[in-house]
Amino acid sequence: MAAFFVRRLLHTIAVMVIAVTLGFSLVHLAPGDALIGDVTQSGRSADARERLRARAGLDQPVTAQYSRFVSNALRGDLGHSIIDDQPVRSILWRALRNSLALAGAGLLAAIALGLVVGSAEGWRPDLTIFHWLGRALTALYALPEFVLAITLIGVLGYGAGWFPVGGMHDPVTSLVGTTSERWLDTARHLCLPAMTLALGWGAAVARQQRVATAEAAGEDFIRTARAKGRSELAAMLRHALPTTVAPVITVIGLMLPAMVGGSVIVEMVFAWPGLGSQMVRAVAQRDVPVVSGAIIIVSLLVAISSLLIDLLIRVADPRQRTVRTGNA
Amino acid sequence: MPDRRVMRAAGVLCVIGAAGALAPWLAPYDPAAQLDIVNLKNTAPSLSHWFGTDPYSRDILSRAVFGARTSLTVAALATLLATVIGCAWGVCAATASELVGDALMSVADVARSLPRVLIFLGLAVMLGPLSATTLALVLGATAWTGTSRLVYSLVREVSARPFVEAALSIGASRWRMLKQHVLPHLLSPLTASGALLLADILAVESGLSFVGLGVRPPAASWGGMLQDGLPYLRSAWWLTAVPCLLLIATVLSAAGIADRLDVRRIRRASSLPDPVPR
Repeated sequence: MAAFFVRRLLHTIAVMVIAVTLGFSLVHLAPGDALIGDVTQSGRSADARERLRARAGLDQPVTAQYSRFVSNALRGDLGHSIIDDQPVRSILWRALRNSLALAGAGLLAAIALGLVVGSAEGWRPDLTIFHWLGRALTALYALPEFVLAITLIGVLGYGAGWFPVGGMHDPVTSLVGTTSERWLDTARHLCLPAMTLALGWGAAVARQQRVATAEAAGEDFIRTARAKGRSELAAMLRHALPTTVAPVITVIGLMLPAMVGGSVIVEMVFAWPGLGSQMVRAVAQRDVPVVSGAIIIVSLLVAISSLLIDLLIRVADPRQRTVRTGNA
Repeated sequence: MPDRRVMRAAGVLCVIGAAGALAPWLAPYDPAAQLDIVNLKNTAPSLSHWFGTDPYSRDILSRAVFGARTSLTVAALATLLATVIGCAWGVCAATASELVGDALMSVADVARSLPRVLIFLGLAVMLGPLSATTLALVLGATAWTGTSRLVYSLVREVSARPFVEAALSIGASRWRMLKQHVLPHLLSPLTASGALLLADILAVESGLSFVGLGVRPPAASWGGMLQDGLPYLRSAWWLTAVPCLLLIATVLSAAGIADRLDVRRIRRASSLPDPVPR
């Protein structure tokens, strides 16, 4: 346990070091430097430029600049946006809140969907309807997120007209609506993007849940439960379901890095003002400090959450000493 | 015994692949030519333009076949690269000493837990839109970790079987042991994982092109066509429907092949005697 903990911690630190180095090299290797605007302004002498750069530490050797970057990043200072004239931290913080709301809603729905479909399929593999439901979800899992997103926009957004297809607020409601109206409006905007994420991720959860439930269904303790006269539903919910929790948490942990990619694209399609849209916009505007800061923050979040998930599994279930690797 | 579902899926892949390979002869128009920006903007499918035209009055059929060429070439190259790197890495880790092998697999784990999309965002902000070759290289260089894990565990598992021990005991060299007795066992799992990787990379590539981080326009790619068509989803559905359906068919065929091969391999493996030696 202790060895595992140390190993896992080293792993997390390695990921963080790589992320910070990647962020630094972006800022450092980008053409020009942070002061390029001030420096090239007309009417400044070469001497003044040099002094300006020295003041910002840009004349130091790379190693000194790197350690400065790291210590700033550790204190939460990720630099200044080139485009917006705001600290990168506050730009990313606003976007991150929206992203977490979307990803959280999507993940919760995915877990609910995956548990229901996967359990049904694993418990009664003989029923054709569950079999086809499972196959449909597997197909959704293989497809790129934005194909699903476009289909949902076309069918539920434009076709049925049930949900708004982009953005996070209705402009009129956000101006004159009451608080509850505004919350409801945001929830309605959340529906389609969260549904897209939930269908894709839910398929992965369902797949794992199916295998785990089918395994549990053959165990002796289920036979005992039936022999005691428990109903089928109770046998599944009270006796089989608890054994499947750990594998499902494991698969979510393994999915985390890929989930970032899915979120970025879904946010783009639905114009959701989250970190993904912010990153893509920053790339288009060549706003290097924002991209570098976002890379650092997102990899940190992923590394820490997967560390927590791994520890959670180890603490919750002593049988899970070996990590299951899912399909890549 | 050829599996019917695998054959069907492989057939779909072959047809789309052949269309991509023969694109210069199949495409009725130049895929990048803006034919008549005034009269041919977003026209519906007709006899002269089977799949209609896009917002820049380009012929969608031509772009779809050339898009197949780009998307499939990039995905196939990247899959090949990822499989080669993953194989080499896994075999090295499995045959090296415990310490080195452990270290190698840790590196793979660390590489795996860095979200791929961040690397692409970083590259895009440095280099701008990528060329197809760079895209394939980077996709391949970031997708090998799953394969390395698979190969690592397979090689270790097979190496523990009695026939390997027997080969070593009659004096076979380590290289011969690997080549003759271990690698043949990797072929079928690697085919399955390769097909899955192809589906995955196709999805990632089209996603990147879709958000404008992939193949540099005006080169046709399915993701890029979807990006062009999305604003017109209501008025001109054929702009998105054609690349969408092609993408769905290709990805599902590749993933379906992987799924079937995997199921069959597991079935066959479970009918084998226990590979663990005394």
